[in-house]
Amino acid sequence: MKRVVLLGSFLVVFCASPGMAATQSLDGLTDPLKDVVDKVTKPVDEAKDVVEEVKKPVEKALPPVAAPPKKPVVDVGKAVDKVVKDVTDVAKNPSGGANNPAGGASDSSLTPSAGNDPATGNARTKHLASGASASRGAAGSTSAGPAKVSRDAGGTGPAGDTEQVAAAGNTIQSGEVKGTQTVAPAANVDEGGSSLSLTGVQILTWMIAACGLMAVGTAFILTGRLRLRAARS
Amino acid sequence: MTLTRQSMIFAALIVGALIVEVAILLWFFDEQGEDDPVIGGAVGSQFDESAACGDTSPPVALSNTRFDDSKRFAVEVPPAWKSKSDGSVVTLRTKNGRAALSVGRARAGDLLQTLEDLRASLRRSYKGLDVISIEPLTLDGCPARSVAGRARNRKGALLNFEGVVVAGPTDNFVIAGFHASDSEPRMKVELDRVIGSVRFYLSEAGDRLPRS
Repeated sequence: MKRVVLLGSFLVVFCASPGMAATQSLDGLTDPLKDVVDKVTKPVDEAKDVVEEVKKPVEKALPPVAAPPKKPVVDVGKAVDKVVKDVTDVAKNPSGGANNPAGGASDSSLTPSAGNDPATGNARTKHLASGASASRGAAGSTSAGPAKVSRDAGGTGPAGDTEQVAAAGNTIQSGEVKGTQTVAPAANVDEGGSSLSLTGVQILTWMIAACGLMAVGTAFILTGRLRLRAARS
Repeated sequence: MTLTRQSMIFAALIVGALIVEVAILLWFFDEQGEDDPVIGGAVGSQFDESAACGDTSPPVALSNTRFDDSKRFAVEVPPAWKSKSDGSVVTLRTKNGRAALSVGRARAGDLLQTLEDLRASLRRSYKGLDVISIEPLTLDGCPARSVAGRARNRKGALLNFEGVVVAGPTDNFVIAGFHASDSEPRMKVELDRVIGSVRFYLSEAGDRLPRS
């Protein structure tokens, strides 16, 4: 009887404590098998990163083909700069002259009032100048270079990277696809279930070990009883 | 009471099994305990002026950390996540695509304005933005504010989000973490843990932003 009680208490202690541990493990992500899985998956992730890094220069090289408007924008900017320069010259020298590279007739056709009203011409010069700088800004913003430089310098525009950071959630997939419950897609089972299944394996291992020990103990008891009976008889 | 040989062996067996059991449990809970300081780390703690903002030691590239290009911040990448950096933005995603987190630089200046920028960006990017809470906190010793709530993304997924704006040692930073509302509850815990793992670094010259 004592042995049965002892065996029972042993059984309770042995089975209860892994159960507690298993309950705790549901919130955690650490177990030895997971470490092994991580060691296997990490090189794959690193390889993916390398591929991503290799892709970047290729993608950078592609935009000249994919985005032809950049050059015309730059050209427009240059043309506007030229016009600004010409207009400024006209404003400085309303009568035209030999130092006007574009010639008086063409200037007057571009800016009819410039020759008559220098003040208006100056105002227009300011306007055009701001327009030119705006064009340059637009041209600059279409190319990756200047934007990158400003980003690296820490001044990524008024709101920094906020827009890009805030948009990160748009890649998250919905669990429900067209009315079909696919709350746990294949990848989800892999990742979401991985820690649980590993914990399950851990629990199972402990249970098997516990059962094995109990079986050995029971075998000892039974063989002891048999020997006692044999000895008494 | 006489002890037979069998009962001695049986008792020894039980004692041995219990020792093994205790050893297993100690090992198990020891591993659990290692994670606790990270889980209960910087996120959620109240504003603490005494803590130094950012890390003064030079950034050390660990295998599970991802830096931005200029090494002004780093974020720990959990095993089941993948990461990529694009200039000053670092983005992490779970391999199943059910959660994402992104860190980058924010507008310089007042943290409230930075927070407003984040809210405006979230409003532009998501439908039905529902802000549930806005709280002050510290992250890596830096004053920060968090905004949490729900929204629906362009793919129609209902998300829980947590955004954090931080007045870092050199710049203001913005962190935005998202997970699908129907994902496991532990995803939020993990997201919080990743946010809590973000560390900020001074420049090589050791410059800091003047605090108002």
